Amino acid sequence: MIVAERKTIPELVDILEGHKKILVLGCGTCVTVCLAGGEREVSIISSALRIASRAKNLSFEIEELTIERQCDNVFIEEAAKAVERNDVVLSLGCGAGVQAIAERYLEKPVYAGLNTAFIGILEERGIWAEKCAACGACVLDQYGGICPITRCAKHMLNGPCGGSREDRCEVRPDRPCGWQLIYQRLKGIGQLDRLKRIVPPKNWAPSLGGGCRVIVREDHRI
Amino acid sequence: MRLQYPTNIRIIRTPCTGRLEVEYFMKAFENGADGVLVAGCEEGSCHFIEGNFMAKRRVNYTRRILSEAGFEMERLRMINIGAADARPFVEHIKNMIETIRNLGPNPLHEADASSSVLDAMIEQETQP
Ligand code: SF4
Ligand code: SF4
Repeated sequence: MIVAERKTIPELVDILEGHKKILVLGCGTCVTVCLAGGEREVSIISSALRIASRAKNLSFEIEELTIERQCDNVFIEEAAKAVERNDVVLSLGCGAGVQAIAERYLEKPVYAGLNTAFIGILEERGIWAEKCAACGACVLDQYGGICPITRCAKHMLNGPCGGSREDRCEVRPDRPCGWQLIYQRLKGIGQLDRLKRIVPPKNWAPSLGGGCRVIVREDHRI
Repeated sequence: MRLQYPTNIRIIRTPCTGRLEVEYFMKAFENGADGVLVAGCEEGSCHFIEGNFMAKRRVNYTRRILSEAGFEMERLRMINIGAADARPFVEHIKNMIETIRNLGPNPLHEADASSSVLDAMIEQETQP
């Protein structure tokens, strides 16, 4: 899922200052699961903004709404009336959600209330970790299903770097060395042989280098 | 033991402090509560094992977000107290009320600013 975290209240106040009628719009999908922008976070952030507004003599009037998915036109429709009756939207969706709303309402300022961080999973209660950088040319098959791009701090395809201590990464001692994980996993599935091959430099063309990435499926076009 | 505690508090019972969510505290202050005192069981004696630890973390998180919003986080406090500890219970309440008196009424209170101190008191229901 896409993992995000909220901006601080002073940051949000900065963004919203000068506006009056504000729709705080949550999203019921990824950001609900990572506890950043679902119905409950909409309620908490709205309360905090109301409190901040009164404490700082601003005049926020805040409406709360959470739709199923902000990155999907079918669901955005459900927010139409609420968007219309407010001056601005503070979206608690991921970056894609914010932009989907903004593209739909050309004359309405739409602001991001979250910092969209990464594609990841819940590792343990209260801890989310990155697992994929959407590099566009997945190599998980060669590394026992452990991503060297996101889980090795140096993104090494021919690791390890040799700097790990115990099983810790030398760059991020709070995290396990990705290459240690790759080694253990390949050993576990009987594919240690893979490590004997030198992997050539990765093709980064399908990654961020070439501008906005688009996937076209002719079989689904009308 | 029949101890008196101040009358300007309102007790709200909950099955366990672990039931309390951040948004409850936020709503209480938004609606004008001058202070909220969360009374959980002593650490290690939660009937639901970790409810009071969860409450503690949520209280801390709420205090952070309140202070981000420019609101005195001292208005929210959590204590851990045994169900039979009447004397310290009364002391904690008096202490909280003292804190609130020093801070003054909740600035968000729409009613007369000189109205008496109203504390929302959340107490964990005594386990048999
Ligand atoms: S190799 Fe690329 S696509 Fe595959 S998990 Fe890693 S970042 Fe994601
Ligand atoms: S210690 Fe391991 S994870 Fe960290 S940079 Fe080196 S190989 Fe990568």
